[in-house]
Amino acid sequence: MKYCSNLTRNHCVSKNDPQILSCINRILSKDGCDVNPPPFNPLTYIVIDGDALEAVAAIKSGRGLHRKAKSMDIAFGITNGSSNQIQLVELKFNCTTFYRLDKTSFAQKVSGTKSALGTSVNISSSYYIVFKVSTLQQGRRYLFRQNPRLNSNFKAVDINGLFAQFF
Amino acid sequence: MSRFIQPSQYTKKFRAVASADLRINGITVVAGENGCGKSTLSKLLYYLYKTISNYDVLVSRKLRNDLSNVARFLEIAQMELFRKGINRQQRHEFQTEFRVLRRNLARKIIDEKQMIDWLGFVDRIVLASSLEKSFDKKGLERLMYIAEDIIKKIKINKNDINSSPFELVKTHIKSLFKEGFGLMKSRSTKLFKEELKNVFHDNNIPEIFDVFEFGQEIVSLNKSNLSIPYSIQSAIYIDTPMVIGLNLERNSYWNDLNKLLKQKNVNSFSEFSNIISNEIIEGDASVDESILGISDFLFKRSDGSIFNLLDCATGIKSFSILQLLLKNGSLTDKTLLIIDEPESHLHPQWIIEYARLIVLLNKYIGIKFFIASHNPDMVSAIRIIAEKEESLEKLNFYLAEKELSYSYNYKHLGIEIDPIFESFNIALDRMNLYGGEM
Repeated sequence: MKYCSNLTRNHCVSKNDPQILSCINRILSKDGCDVNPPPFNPLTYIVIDGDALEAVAAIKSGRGLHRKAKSMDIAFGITNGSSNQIQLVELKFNCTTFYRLDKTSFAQKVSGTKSALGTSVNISSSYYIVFKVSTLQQGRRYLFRQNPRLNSNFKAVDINGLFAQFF
Repeated sequence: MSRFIQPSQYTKKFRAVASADLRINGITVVAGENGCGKSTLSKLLYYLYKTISNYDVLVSRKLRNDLSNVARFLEIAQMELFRKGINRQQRHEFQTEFRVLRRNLARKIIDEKQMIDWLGFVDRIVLASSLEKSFDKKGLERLMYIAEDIIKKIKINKNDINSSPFELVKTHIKSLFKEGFGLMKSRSTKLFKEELKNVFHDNNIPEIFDVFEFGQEIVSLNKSNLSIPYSIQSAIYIDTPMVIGLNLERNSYWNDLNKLLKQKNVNSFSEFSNIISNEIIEGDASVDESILGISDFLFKRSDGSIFNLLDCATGIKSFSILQLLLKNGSLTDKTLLIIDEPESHLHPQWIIEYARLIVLLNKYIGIKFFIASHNPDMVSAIRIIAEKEESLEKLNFYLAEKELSYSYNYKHLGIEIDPIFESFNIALDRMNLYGGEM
């Protein structure tokens, strides 16, 4: 399944609160991904900023910004023409202490973002964790150590892998 | 950091090693699949430093081996002498003197005095035999055959010497000692090459093997002489903790290690020995020498129970080896400690403790390490703890990359370990292959 701009822009949370939409390069850059040259071309891939989405959800639910839940960094629509899903992505470009990767924390992030997105569009059961190209293999190993089973829902990729998979 | 600044070695075309340009100035970690030549590099390094740091000892050992036939000749000659009736006191004097000669050869670096003593001993046998008329024609003929067999490997102009077997043997003794003195003076590379052929049971030695220190080439198989190293003056090789207490001739480095472990304590570096005792194995390793001179390795657990170390868990042996070497002063800032797969036999938490010790011993004592590892935790723990201890500049990781079948280049990674993890993660791909969803 590949990225779908319409699905991303027309999701109910995007319609209601368009400020949660962002250019993917801006979020990548904020997390420490080297975007010069930009890994994505063209620059117009619009995604849902997970942090902004959670901020909106926290306000609407009355929790307030100081009680935001954990959230994934990026969500965007994907489609194969007949079926649509929302893909969740976590960015770990600044991760150097892999032994602190925590599967409970990842699960909480997924849960928080799923809750904020609602159920209007199915959410993919595979969650992508994006590491720097130079640390991908360590990330992959530590993710497996955290959850030592095959076909884990959490997939380690680098930015090139993410691009190849969805864009 | 240039390879010409710190100790480094370059190996080309030897067994599975296509090329390896290694920096040995702190903690050097090599990774790679089985059969990529990691142990070959470990042994090369060990025998390199063993040879160039103990050159005179090796020359003496070589002479002892070369003189073994001479010693047998002299035993036979003495037996002839004793048979023909010299008195008991003379017999005792001969036996004692011969024992001292051989012991000195085994324990001391060869010198002129030893040569004179050996030649003098031959003369005394000749003198005694002439006084007692001990050797009959048959006996002399037999000694002549033996003497000619002994000297067959050296060039002696038989016309220039007396036909006495004792003169032939004396000429041989002089020749061997002079060869030894010459080797010690020249520090010939020949001895190192012979050592490599013996160790690897192979006449093929590396096409190139160069060692540099502070910019100067101190060893090259293409040059005739070996220099004297400064930064590394001794090497210790541990390929398995199971070696403790074993005395096998198969691998001389096992015997070398056991000899070191049995050295008397000088209470060096007690703080690190205490870390091992108090924070890891909860006990203390020691060597107990009985009145018969037989050494026992003991492990005293913190609750007071005492065990033979040979009966203890292999993980305890791993740390005990380090502890014993620390206690008896074998580890200094001039030591290269070579360890093949230090993680073997260790529980994951002890792998991290071992990695921590490696980093601390390098940082605070200056011990150099050459580590071959297959373990992700060992590799990442060394990297992480070295960073915390601000010792990253001492780290050098290498990955053996396949060049051709059975041939590997050792790629320098600096402090980057992700390529090593990529290699380790092949295991994850295999798990998916054999156990993943269809």
